[in-house]
Amino acid sequence: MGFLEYSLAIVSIACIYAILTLGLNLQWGFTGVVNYGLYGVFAVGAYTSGLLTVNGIPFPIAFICSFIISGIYVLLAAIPTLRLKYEDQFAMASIGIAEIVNMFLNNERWLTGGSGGLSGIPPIFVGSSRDICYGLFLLFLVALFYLFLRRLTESPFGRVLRATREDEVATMILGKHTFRLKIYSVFIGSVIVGAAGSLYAHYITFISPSMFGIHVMFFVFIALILGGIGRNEGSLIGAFLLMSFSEGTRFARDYIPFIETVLGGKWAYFRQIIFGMFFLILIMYKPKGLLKEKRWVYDKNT
Amino acid sequence: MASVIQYIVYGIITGSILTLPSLAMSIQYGTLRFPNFSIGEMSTLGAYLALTFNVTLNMDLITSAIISCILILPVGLFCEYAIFRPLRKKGAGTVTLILASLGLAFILQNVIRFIWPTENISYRIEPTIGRMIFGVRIADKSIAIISISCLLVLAMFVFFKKTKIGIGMRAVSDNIDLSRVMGIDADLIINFTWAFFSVFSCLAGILIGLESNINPNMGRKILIPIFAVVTLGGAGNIYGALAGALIIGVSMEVSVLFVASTYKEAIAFVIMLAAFFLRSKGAK
Repeated sequence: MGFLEYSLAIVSIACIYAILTLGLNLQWGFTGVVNYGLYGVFAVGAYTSGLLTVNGIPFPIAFICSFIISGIYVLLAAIPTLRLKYEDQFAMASIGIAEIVNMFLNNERWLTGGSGGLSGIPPIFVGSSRDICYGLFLLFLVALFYLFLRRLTESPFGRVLRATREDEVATMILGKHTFRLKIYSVFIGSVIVGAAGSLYAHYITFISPSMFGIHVMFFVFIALILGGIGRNEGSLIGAFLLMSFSEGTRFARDYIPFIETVLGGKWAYFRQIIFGMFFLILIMYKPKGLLKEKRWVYDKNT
Repeated sequence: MASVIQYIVYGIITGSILTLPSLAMSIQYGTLRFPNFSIGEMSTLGAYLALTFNVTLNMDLITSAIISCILILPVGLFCEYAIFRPLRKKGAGTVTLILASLGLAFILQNVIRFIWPTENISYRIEPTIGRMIFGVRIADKSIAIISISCLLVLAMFVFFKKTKIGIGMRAVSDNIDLSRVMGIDADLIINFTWAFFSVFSCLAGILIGLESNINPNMGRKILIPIFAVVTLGGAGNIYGALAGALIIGVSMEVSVLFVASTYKEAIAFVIMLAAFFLRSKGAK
C-alpha cells in the first residue's frame, strides 16, 4: 500500500476513534459518568448498520437507523444502571451489559454470523479515489460532531452537566434533575458512539464480536486523558496523537531489528502491554488529563 | 426429571469452582472497597503457570498447582505495591481504582498472550473416568474439584476464625478505622488480602482449566458470576460468598435447560442486577 493510502487510512481510523473520544468526553469529561460499557453501543451501532446494508438497505438509511437503535439500546441500558447508587455497582452493571451484547453477537449465528463475523458490508466509497473520499468524509463528520458538541457544552446545558460532575448533591439542591441530565448526556454521547460504529463497519467492511471488546475502551480512555477531560479539542488531539503513536509503532519490527529477534511475532501483544502501562501511569499521575480544562468565562465584564 | 438433577450437579461443580475466587474477591472488596476487575486475568495467569509446569516440565498437577501459587504471590503483591497502594495514598476514588484494576486486567491479558500460545490446551492428567452415581453422570475429576474446593473452604474457615491474621482481616473488612484503633496493622492485612486474592484466583484458574480447557479468555468468563456471588452474599461476608457461589453455580447450569449455554453468564448477571435493586431498597 502506498504511503498516501496508508496515511489516509490512519486518518480515517483516527477520525472514528476521535468521534468515540468525543462521545465519551461528553459523558465522562463533562458529566462525570464513566461509561465503562460504552463498547457495547459501538458494537450495536456497527452491527445494526452492517446487517441492514448487507440486506440491501442503502447506507444513509442504515446510518440513521444505527443512531436510532443505539439510542434505544442505551436508554434500556442506562436508565436502570444509572439509578444504582454506587460507582462499583455501576461499573459491574455497565460492563456486564456490554459483555452480554458480546455474548449475543457471538451466539446468534443466524443473525450476526456469530464469532465468524459479518463480511461483505458494502463500503461507502469505492474506486480509485476511495481513500481520499473516506478521509475527507470522516474528517467532515468529525468536524460536524465536534461543532455540535462544542455548542452543546458551551451552552447552559453544558454548564449544568459540569455542575453535576463537580458536586451532584449541590446541583440537586439547586433544583436540577441530575438523573435526567445524566441520561441526556449518556444518551447523546452513546448515540454518537453508535454512529461511529456504523462508520467503522462500513470502513473495514468486515466486523466480528472480538473487535468490540473492552480493549476498545482503553484506546478511548487514553485518548481522552491525553487530551484532557472536559475539553473537546483535547479529545480530538488525544485521539490523533494516540493513533499516530499506535500506527507509528505497529511496523516498528520492520525497521528495528532488535524487536524481531527478541520478541518475535508477539510484538502486537507487547505494544498492548505498553499501552496498558501508559494508561496506568496516566491515571496514577495525571487523572484529569494532560491539557487543563479551559476556564469557563461567561461574562467578560465581571 | 433425572436431567434436572444432572444439571444441579453441574451447578454444584461450577459453584465449587466459583467459591474460591468469590471468597478472594469478597474479602478484597470488603477491605479495599472496590471491585477488582483483574481477578479474571489472575485466574487465567494461574492456570497458565500450572500448565507450564504440568505439560512443559512434566510435573504432576498437584505440584504444578503448588508452585504456581507460590509464583503468583509476588505478582499480586507487586500490583499492590506498584499500583494500588500509591493510588490509595493519593486518596484515589473508587472510579480510579476500578480503572486501575481494568488496566491491570488488560496488561495481564496481553502478558499471558505474549508468553503462551493462544490455542485451547488441556492439562496432562490421567484420563478421566465418568461415573454414574445415583443416576447422575459425574467425572472423577469433577469429584476431585468439589473435594478440593471443600477442603480449601474449610481451611479458610479455620484461618478466619482461629488465626490472628484471619480475625484481623475480618475486622479490617468490617471497619478499617476501628481496627486501626484496635492496633491492627491495616497495611499488613491488606498485603494478606492480596496474597489471598492471588492464590485463590490461581487455584480457581487451575480448577477451571481442569474442568474444561485453558485459553486466554477463560478468566474473563467468570468475572460476571464472581461479581454476582459477591453481590448476593455481600462484600466481606464469607458465608454469603459460599451460599452465593452455590446459588449462582446451580442457577447458571440449570438455566441451560431453558436458554442457550452461551448465556450462562448472562443469567448470573441478571441475578446480580436483581440483587442490586433489591438491596437498594434496604433489605439485606
